[in-house]
Amino acid sequence: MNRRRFKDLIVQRIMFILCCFVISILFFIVMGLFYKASPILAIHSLRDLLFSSTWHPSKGNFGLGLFIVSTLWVTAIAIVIAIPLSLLTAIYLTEYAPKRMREVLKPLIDLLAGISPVIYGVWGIIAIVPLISDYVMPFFSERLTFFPFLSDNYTGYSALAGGIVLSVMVFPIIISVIHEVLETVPFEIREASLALGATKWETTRRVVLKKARPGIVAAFILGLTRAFGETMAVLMVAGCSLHGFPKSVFDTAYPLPALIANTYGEMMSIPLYDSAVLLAAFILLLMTTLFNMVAWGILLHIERKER
Amino acid sequence: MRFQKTPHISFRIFKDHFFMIAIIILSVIASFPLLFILFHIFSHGFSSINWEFLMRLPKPVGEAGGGIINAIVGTVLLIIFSCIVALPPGIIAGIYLSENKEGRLSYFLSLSVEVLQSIPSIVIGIIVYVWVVRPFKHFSLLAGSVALGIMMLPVIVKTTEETLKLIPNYLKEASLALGVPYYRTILRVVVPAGLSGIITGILIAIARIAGETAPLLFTAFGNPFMNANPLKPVDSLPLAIFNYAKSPFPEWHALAWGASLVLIIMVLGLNLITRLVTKKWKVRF
Repeated sequence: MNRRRFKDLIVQRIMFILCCFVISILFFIVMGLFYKASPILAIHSLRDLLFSSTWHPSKGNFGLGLFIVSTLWVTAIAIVIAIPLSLLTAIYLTEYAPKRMREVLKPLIDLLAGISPVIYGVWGIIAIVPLISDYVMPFFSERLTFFPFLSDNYTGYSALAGGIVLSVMVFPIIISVIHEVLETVPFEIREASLALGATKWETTRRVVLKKARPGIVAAFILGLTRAFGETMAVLMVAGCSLHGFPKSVFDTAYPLPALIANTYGEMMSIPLYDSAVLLAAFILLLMTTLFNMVAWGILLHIERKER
Repeated sequence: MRFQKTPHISFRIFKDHFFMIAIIILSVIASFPLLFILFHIFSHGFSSINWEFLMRLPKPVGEAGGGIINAIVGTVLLIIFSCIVALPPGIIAGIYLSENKEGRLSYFLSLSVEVLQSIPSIVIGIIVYVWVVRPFKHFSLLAGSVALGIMMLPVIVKTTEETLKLIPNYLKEASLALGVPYYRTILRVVVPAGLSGIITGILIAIARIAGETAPLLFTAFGNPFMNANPLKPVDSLPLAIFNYAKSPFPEWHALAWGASLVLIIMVLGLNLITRLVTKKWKVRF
């Protein structure tokens, strides 16, 4: 009997230790970033680092402003494109598509969600970049010479290309989450609405979407987080030049993750360089965590309501 | 109660039809680029895939031919090693979460899993560079697997927890009432009942990391030769695609397409296996 109790105790201890191990990974990540980023915070003020856009590591200028603005700009473009299209596709998939069609489309979307970001990047280089430099950019730059379109970058490697590639990348993720959320809306509610004489569209718009709204918002935030931290695809198509703040969708952008990925070769030689790059990683971590916590809160709120 | 004035029925029906058509058209627009990507990879990839491509090492620039066997082997090794890193803590943390729904440890555990899942892959890459690559002074297969393992972990914890939560309590109670110790109850009753879900979770996690490039840039680094030594750098398919695609040589672009196709077929295979596992092994209550 004692031996069995002892074994039980041992197993519980192992379980406890492994759980603490999982928690400690997060601790190590946050502490490591903070510890390594602190030297630069001791020398430069946080305000300078966040808002200055001069990035000259060899001269000791480490302004991350350009990268932060680029990240927000590319993500904003991606999300503006992705929201309407993925929402409508998910509605089609759940409400309108015949059952057979759904059975074909669902695995296809799962497959697309698993495609490597690099492949999306390659697709961006061969399809999106030439499209922008040959057709979209000349068309807009002649006709619309005001804020989000005015630019002198004719290469096609631009914030818009990054945004399009990102939006296509997050499509499958957002679609499959919204699809799942819409499927949890009970069928009886739809029947009740239809029985009262509402048309199909009115039912979808006023009943199904209303009930699923928090879940849909959470899905968008999830996609946003994914787009935010995505590195390879954006790195390949967004241009990544240090021209100053992007002022137009056709300007080049240089998001934070691309900065981190591009600098790994040169980090060691210049003092404080690695510290600045790790500060960039730390900022990225804080922002995605914030987004994700909001999404988590919304989902918890729904679960509680359903109970 | 205020009544809204309803528009005429024919207008409502028109609106209904209008939006149905709009939804269908926009869905087609949304799926067009996705299908285009698949089509492009298949049409470009097939021409460069042959036996030599799958079984040879890459050749230097300028020479025709050459393959990606180093990247295929590297990817498989990375997956195996990251499973070794991530499976034990992941599955056990998932079991713990499903067994203890309340409590401080499970609160912190689920919180940190949630945060881990949202961390961008490049950040994981750079932190593994700081903690593993620098002390060892080498880019290595081991560092790459640690990075990928950290990416797998939250997926495994979450799917394990979700599956085990669905197992009815009376199974466990019956086993405990017969005098079976707690750990044996978990090993012999709870885990086998949820096995299909756990395996599905592992396969989903593998599919997620198979295409990751960003965390491997600073950790596994890439290597044009075959390598199975955990302390030396290895190549992986996504890394190879990235390196070949950004190069200016058309032969290397062809290699990139072929490697993309191989990678997609791998992910497709994993998806199919996942479906089979969920269908065949699912225990119904």
